[in-house]
Amino acid sequence: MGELVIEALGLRKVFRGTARRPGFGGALRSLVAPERVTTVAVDDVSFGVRAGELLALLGPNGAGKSTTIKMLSGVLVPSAGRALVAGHVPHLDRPANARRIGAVFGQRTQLWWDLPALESFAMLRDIFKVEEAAYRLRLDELAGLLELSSFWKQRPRQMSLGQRVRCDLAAALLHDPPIIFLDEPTIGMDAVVKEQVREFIRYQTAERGRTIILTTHDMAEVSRLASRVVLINEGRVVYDGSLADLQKEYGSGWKVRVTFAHGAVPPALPGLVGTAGGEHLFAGTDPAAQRHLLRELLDRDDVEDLQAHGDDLEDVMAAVYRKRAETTR
Amino acid sequence: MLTWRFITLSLKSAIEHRADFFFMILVGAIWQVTVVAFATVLITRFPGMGGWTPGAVLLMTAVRSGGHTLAGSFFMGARQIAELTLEGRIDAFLLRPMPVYRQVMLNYFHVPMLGDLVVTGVMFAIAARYLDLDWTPWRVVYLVAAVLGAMFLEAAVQTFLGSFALRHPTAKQWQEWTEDLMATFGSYPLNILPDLARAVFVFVLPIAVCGYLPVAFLTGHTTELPVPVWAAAASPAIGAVLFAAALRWWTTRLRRYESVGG
Repeated sequence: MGELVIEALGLRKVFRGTARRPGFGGALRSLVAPERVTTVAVDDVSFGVRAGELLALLGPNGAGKSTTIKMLSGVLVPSAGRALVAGHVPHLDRPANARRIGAVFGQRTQLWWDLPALESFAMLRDIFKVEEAAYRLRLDELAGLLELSSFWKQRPRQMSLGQRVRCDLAAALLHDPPIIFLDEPTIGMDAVVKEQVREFIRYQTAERGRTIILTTHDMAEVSRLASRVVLINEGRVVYDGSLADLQKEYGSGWKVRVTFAHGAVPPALPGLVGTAGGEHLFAGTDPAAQRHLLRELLDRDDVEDLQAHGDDLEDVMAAVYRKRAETTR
Repeated sequence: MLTWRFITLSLKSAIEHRADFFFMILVGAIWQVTVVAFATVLITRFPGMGGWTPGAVLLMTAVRSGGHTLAGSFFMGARQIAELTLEGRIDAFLLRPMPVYRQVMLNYFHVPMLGDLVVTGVMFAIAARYLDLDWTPWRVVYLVAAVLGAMFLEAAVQTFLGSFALRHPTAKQWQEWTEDLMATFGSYPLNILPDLARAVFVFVLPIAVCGYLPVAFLTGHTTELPVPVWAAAASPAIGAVLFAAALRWWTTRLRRYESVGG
């Protein structure tokens, strides 16, 4: 893994506004004496991302993921702390930062709504001053990976969500940025397109060496793409580490369900926690014990069915948030 | 070059909605026809207004209209800031290596300005015919400066108010109100108004810069001016100065931009 290219150093973002009181009387009172409200969206968030790494930034809705990404991409100015992208403060050197990064916010588009996507691509080529030959090569590659050519003459307003996001992904990479921010890029997509986008993201890190920060609520996506996760809850980092360690630390362990052939004598193997309807359930927390058990079972001729389960990442996440809530209570 | 690409792209974007495009041109033309009808009545029925000849009043209308047309062409995006913010498009602008202000202004093509341009030209021609003025080169240059000053003033006001729309979408209503105000009072000699109103339009919301002061200097209607003649002569520069101040205000507000949805 390369050097640190993205650094969040004690990032904090505070939004200030007014709260509306309920009812007509409350509305009148708010008009005369508004109640000032301060919302700390991100509080002392620190982490680093190395070149070529894909980091999944996870958390429930309103946790501060998008705000963090917006500070790192230069859209928002932090209230405190510092963001560094390729050694530069994004909001202080915005044009240079824009050339180094690409960003896709899944629920928004940076394409011209009323013009064919191809025209948006050409405009972005001019804005980012990409040479024509390089642009052609890149567009061909992106079109191949994302299968754009069948719909890139359409206007985004006529596209499906999946088509629109694929065009946005291409638009974000046309200037060949080494760093990419993806904020829920697969939200609302069908399974087939989702898989295509996941493969595209995997390709960008594995084959093209890009550094990616990805936010998503899709745990299958996380386990497929990310080796490292940062969990944010209520604006604070609650976990920063590998996915494997996260599962080890907060998971409830492994389970193996076995159905033996009729009349077979089940062996006495460690980890058996119960039997029901001819099915034997083994469970434990040590991965080595699970591997040993599976080897034993696979060597036997009387095993009719065998299912091995790891921790469901959704459950692991829930466990992290539960534990966090308990410790702060 | 890039600016031109933006303008053509915005125009193409406007043409995409054919019915809307033609309807807006039609609305613009009808609006301008009412302005021409008003000017015709002014010239044929009234001997003057507040001591001003009909030709001078029409020149003032033409200067304000010219400034408004140019402001509509290059700065109309300021009126879209509330929508651009709510749609998250300001986020996208911040992710491009190009000034956000320029992207906002070029994002929208104000179709009715095509009609405005024609009618403004007609008004200038009629005003020039009725005015007994020797159009020396410096007078022509000063007239151009007056039109640019009117443009910058309108751009300054809309930019200043539009900056608030980055956080408060209701600022758009203030933008519309001030535009109406400038359209209503910018085309008449302000000496017909009560002193207080005149003071407001000279020193608070300097609508006088849009036409009254520069045209008063240009046509020699300087006896009832609320400011010294040299100040009236320098009035086109005020629009530019206020525009520069509005740009600084925009930069400050953009640093406090909060985006939408997280």
